[in-house]
Amino acid sequence: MKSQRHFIPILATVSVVCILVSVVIGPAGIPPDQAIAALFVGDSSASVIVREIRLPRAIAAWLTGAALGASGAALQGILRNPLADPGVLGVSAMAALGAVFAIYFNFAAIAFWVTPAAAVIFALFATLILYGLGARRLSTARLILVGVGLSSFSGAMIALVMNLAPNPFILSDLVNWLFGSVANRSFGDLALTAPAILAGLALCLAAAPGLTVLTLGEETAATLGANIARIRAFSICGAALMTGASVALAGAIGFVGVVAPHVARPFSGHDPGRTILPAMFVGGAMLVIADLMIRLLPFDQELKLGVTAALIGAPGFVWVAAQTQRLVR
Amino acid sequence: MTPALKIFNLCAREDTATLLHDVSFSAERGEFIGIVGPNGAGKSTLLRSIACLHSNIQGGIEVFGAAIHTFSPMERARALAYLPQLREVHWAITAEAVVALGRFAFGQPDRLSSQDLAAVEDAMVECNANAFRTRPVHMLSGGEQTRVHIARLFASHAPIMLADEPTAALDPKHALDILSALRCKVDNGALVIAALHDLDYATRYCTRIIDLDEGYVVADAPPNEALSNEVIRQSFGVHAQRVGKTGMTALRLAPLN
Repeated sequence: MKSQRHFIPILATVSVVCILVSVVIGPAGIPPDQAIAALFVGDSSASVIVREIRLPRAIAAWLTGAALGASGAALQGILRNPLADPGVLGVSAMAALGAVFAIYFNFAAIAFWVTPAAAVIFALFATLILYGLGARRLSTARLILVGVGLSSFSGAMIALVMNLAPNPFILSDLVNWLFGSVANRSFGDLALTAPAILAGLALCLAAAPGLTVLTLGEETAATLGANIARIRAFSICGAALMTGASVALAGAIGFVGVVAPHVARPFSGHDPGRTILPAMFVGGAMLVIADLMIRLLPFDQELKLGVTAALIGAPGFVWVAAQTQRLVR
Repeated sequence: MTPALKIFNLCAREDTATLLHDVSFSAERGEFIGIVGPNGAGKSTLLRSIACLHSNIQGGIEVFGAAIHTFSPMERARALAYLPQLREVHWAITAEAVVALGRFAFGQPDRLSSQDLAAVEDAMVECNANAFRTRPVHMLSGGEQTRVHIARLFASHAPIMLADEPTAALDPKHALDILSALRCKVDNGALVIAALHDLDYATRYCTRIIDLDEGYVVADAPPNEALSNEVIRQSFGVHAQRVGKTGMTALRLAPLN
């Protein structure tokens, strides 16, 4: 029971190593030793590339994956369902729709935080719809069908907005949101979204002991002293904050939220409350590696992160679905 | 002295149906109350109402002299432990981890004090669940799972324990072991209220029987009185007969005609 704590430092180290490797390797052909040095000193072109382009991009990829992994773990805990994930359940798509609305109607011009806020609010709305239905003892299959419905609806709305887009610039902006990318992110973008992700993580961690006791079902958990309404509010708002902020940072990226907790679960003894942190590190490392692959693949047009994540993640989702059928009713 | 549990004029409704009609009784520590009655009589509803899981109720429930709705969830959990009829376990956690959740109201599940650990340890021994403590619960047999959940109930050290069909799905040896363990809790000052289907077990282990029928209390007395052949015939619709010598009598049930 106690030895599982030791996995957290190991997983954290893996994340840091992934980010460092991602910073060292790139198309500019800077030698690794110089890249590492450029990270800390100097104002050569190498240090500009490493510090202003590669580092924020790697951190953005990590933050996005970490937010999705942790919110996937929290959603799985509260819905008691190993296939719950912001992407599968349509939360990411709804958040993207919020961001798209903000861009299309030019609300984004009001203040810099409007687009992320719209993404978070739409993510919260989607989570509440799912929870409202899930509370009625919805089966996994129907829960996922509701998610498919939410995804399709937001997809259709986004398509409508693209249809009506007045100029190709807005169109290419919207494509970025749809497919997900962390290219050309600055520390300013990170500073804007990181607090929301941190706040979401804090809420989910506050609900974590409650998620553990929810393993025995809501009624038994209530008789064991759990404050169900509080656990619900904290984990749902936390997951929505993290998903919304990650979408605001990188667009809609699927499947990290279901694969990362599944990989992390053995590290936490399958305890849903203690899966949140390992899932965060696993999700972050996954997206840093996916983004590194994108940068190294020799295509003329760079692949979108969301596309790569889905190419890897969709088979992962099928693998999880096949493995967990025993626990899903 | 204030009773451990006092229930007065308890009515429970579900939509338009009334599941409990005006149930009143009080119970002391050291009592083992068996709730019996045919299917749909309201046994589970009564236990769920006491555990605050039934929202649509009227009447009063007092625990150690205080109305139950004045308790915080943690306070309530320390006074009153509940074993549901349907025992869900959603993740592949170990038997040991489930039992440790019985200590949730005393701290956090990942920071068990030495007192918590001792309570978990004792409960595992009492329920004979040590052999499979590190195995995931969903891999265990139905009987083993029941023992894990009862160990979870015992680990709480709550003075009032509510158990909905604690012996369902248990083979005779384990059923008798669990009933003896519950009886042992009672002899050490706990109040146990259990919904039981087996009238023979109920007669042998309980100190008092509350017989429910269609939501009404039809009998509330010591076993031999509340489960007399006449009462069984009326509320269960079966013919009852005591066989065997005094001290080792068994209850034999047969269709009415």
